Amino acid sequence: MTQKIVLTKSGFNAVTETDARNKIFDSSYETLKYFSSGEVTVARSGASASGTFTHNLGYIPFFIVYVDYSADDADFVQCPFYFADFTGYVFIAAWADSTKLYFEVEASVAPPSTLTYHFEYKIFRNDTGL
Amino acid sequence: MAQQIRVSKLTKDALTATDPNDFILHSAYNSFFILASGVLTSQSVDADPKTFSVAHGLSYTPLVFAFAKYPDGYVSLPWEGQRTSTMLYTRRFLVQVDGTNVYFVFYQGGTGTYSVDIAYYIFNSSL
Repeated sequence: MTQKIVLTKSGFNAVTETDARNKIFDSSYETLKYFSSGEVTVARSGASASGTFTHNLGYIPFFIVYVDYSADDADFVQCPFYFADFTGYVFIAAWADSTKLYFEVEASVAPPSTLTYHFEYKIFRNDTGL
Repeated sequence: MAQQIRVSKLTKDALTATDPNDFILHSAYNSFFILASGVLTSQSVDADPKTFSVAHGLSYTPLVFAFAKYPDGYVSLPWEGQRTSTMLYTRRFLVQVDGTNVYFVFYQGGTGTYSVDIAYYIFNSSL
């Protein structure tokens, strides 16, 4: 029999429990493994702007990105983010390849003054296989 | 005192640390782990929309996440389009899940048939 480590929630038997929702940990399953996190600031004075982060993993990792498009650096939304009204639109997104994350903002018009976007990224070591 | 299993980060004391972020593993906190993952390669988006599905085999609706690699080679998050195209009227995809399947719904956005690779993750948490 294969050896493994299983921690269940209180009230569940680690030897017999089969529902993964009742487990704290099970060595049979992979977890998300942190690689890097940080912030990239993108300033937009025209209709579009972009930034990058170089991860150099050599493969495309599992990643998640949030963006704060306000001035207080406190109201983050998960990318991608769209907003549109009668004045126009803005689209904020992030992509990845085997070396970088790309953070981009595209809007229908340039802002009256420069806008700053704070992209917060989490990169995991998990290879997406893409 | 209740027994616990704790593995702390380097330089953190597993006996005295109280911040959950100081632990690699703590038996008092649920961990987010991956029940299944996979890649669907060279899927043809020949309709608008075109839906691909994977049966997850669970008795509940799980939390899922997915990525898509468009023909330009960049990998997108759900509801993003292909990077090297204008962002309006472009290709997009979304992820849906129910008690039986995970669905990947792709839109052509007026660009015609194209091919995508999809990576998906199914987690141990239910919706």
